[in-house]
Amino acid sequence: MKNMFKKIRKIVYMISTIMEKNKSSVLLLVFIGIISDIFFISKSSDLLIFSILALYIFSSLIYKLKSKIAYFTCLLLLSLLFVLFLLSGPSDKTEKTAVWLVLFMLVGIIQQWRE
Amino acid sequence: MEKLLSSKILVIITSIFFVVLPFFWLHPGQMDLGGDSSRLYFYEPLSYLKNFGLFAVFPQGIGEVSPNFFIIPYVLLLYGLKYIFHSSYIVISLINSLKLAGGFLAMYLLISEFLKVKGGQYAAIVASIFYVCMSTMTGNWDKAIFSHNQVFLNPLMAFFIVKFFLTNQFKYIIFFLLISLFFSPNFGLTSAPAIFSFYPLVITFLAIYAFFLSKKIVSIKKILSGGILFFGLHAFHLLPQLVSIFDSGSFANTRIFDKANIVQEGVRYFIAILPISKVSEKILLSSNGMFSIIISFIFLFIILITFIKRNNKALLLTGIFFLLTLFLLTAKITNVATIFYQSLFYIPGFSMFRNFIGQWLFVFSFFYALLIGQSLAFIFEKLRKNLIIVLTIIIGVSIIISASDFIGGKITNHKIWEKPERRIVLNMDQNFENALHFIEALPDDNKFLTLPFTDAFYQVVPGKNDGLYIGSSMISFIAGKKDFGGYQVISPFSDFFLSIVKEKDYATIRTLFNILDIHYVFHNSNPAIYDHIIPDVPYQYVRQFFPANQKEYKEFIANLGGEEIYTKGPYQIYRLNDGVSHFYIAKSVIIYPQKQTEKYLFLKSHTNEYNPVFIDSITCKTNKICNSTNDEKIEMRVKKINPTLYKITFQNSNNPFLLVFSEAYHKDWKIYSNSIEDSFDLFGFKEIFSNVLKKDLFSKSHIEVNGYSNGWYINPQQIGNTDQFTVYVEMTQQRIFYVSSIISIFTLCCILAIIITAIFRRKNVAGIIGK
Repeated sequence: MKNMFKKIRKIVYMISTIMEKNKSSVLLLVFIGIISDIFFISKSSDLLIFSILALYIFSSLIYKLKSKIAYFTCLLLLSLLFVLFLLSGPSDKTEKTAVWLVLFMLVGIIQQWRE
Repeated sequence: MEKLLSSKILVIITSIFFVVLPFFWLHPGQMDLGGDSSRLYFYEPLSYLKNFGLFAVFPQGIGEVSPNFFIIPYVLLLYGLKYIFHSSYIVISLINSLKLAGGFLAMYLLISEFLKVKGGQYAAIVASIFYVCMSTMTGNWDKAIFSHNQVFLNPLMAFFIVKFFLTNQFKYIIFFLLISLFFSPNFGLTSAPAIFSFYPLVITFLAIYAFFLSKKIVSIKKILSGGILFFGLHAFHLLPQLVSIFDSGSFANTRIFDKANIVQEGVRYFIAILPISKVSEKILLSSNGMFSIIISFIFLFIILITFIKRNNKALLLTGIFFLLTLFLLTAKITNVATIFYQSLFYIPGFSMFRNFIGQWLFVFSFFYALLIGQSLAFIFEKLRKNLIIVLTIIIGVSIIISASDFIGGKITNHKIWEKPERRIVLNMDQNFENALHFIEALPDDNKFLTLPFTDAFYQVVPGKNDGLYIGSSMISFIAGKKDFGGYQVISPFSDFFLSIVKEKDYATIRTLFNILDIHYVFHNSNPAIYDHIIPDVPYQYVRQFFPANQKEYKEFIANLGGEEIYTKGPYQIYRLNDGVSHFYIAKSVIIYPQKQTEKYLFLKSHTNEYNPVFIDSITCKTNKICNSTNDEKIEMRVKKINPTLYKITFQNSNNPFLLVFSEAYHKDWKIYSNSIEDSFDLFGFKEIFSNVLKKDLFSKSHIEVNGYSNGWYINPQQIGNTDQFTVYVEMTQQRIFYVSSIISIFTLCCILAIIITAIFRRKNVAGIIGK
């Protein structure tokens, strides 16, 4: 059991080190993940959603990101939601955008509460 | 400009606007009465109260036990208003004004409590206008049921709660209690979805705001006292409803605790309407059109900007509850969350939220408006006063324009039928009112069949104008005679009835009417309400079985053997050939097998029996009564004291007999013997109180007969008297109402005593200070 914990800690440390050196890439990955989920993946996948969300939360812990980043993301998502709703009504893409908006708003609020 | 358009002036102007507006939705003489629960209490409040609110027996169909005492204070209030103004139009408009202006004012007062900053009151004005005009709040005014008063009650009660939490002053609890009494329908178990969707969340929110963010302390003793006073004050309707919930077999008990019902009515219903739910529509409030979407987008933008610029715990707290209510309203924030939501429906009682896209609308709107108010206040704080006033007016007017359909009265007077064009607002037809008065004056207690027959429980009544009423039967709820007007009402015989109608098996129909005590037919023969209507509401399903048009309906009634006893305009009333009465003594006992596939088929093969009673074989195995019939010519005189109490006098009865009572079987229908002199009063208090200490007779021989009704094997020897004796048939659940009313009156007296004491104390203190 102790060995397992040690291994997990080692893996987490390695991932953190890699991520620290590739801040832009990681954040870009999160952004691409969200856009891909909205525009290119037809079905709703919780695995993808929670993976991207977990990556963002992990990133904000490592990079000490402020809640403002989450809120700015929300602003972008809100604008995208507005445009998609006008163009295609409550379509799958619009619904996915709305879900991402809600999730990032929740992340931002929790982050800001702790700040 | 500041003095001219101070926040108080703007509040007054807006309130006056909302008070006056509903008077333009209807014209004098018009009424808006229809819908599932209908609003007949605006039309004839006293008759509605007498038939629906005072007794624990449902006024329609087979008369199931159904306590609805919660309507008493509210309908008495409406009766008072109608007595003063002599106009249902004015009463309806006043209540709409109360909801609109009251909702605005209450929300303004509440939001102001959170915004003690410069410009806060102007932000509260904008948010309050948004609250009453947003699409999630305006979409259900046309189907306004009792609990729709939550439009103004929710923010008002939340205001009292937050004031109590912040100031620890008991007077706010007193205000809460007194207002809750008048609007008791909003605090009864019938409004459980409205109560449990709003108060737990809002009280939690206000408690966190007051105790953790504002560091206030409140007296637990005062909270407990308030709770006890609340339950005491509402005991007159809560206690009977609680008994009904734990009464196995009752509608409420089955809905809450029956596992099959939980799955069917809760889980499956939730899954069925899940596809309709859209997160984007709720966030952007799209129902009111493009302008509303743009306003919602701008508000959400402002909210997010405020989150970026300010770190305010109260704002964050509101944000969390806003997101929580959005999730509860839409159920679609990730699949995992949806599955979790679905699992909640297996909790007994949670199926009350099966129509989640409607039940959580009010609390969602509440937090949305509050969030907007708080966000706008932080923006206004940085602006000059003149600019704040201008922005308040521009935004407020824009919100009102975005809800133009609602403001213009289109939502409260929309079309029901395209062809012929009919709307929900009507001027009552004098011919129909005359027919109702005729029905009310009939001396006997027999039941009606209302035609044309409908899919659910509706009656269709056209107005003098292009209005149309589709709602609960006025024959039952206003004229006080039980009727069967729809598929749901004639349960448990619904499918069987449709099949014999389609087969034109008039002999079996007459036998069924016999055991249901249906002696009259009410027919609205107007072709415009049945022939060639688009959409085919509310006849879509039953039209497959019933006559295709009004001409064929006339033939249907003729074949039933109906004799016309009244006609005025398109309304006819027929009396069917004499059959058994509400109470009758069985002359022939027919035992039928209790097999599901043969259910009610026994009626087909016994159409010529005289005073028959049908008993299933399993009941007969455990009761000797199936072997006994009585050939004596027993005379029976029945006097109805009220729907829960009957007095029956028997003569020439020496041997046992089977008494049948054509109301829904319930174990709490009991028989007592009594020798007190006959004295009539509406509630029969004298008879009831004398019955209280007596043992009910014949309880062991009380069985279900005829597939739904009550039967007693009466042995005159048990009473001691033979040849002539009197008994009382009583629905004993009614007594719970009498006892709980005493509790409520006592509690009200205590509250009034608290108020008077407080007033005197204040005068004494003022006097001492003056000296």
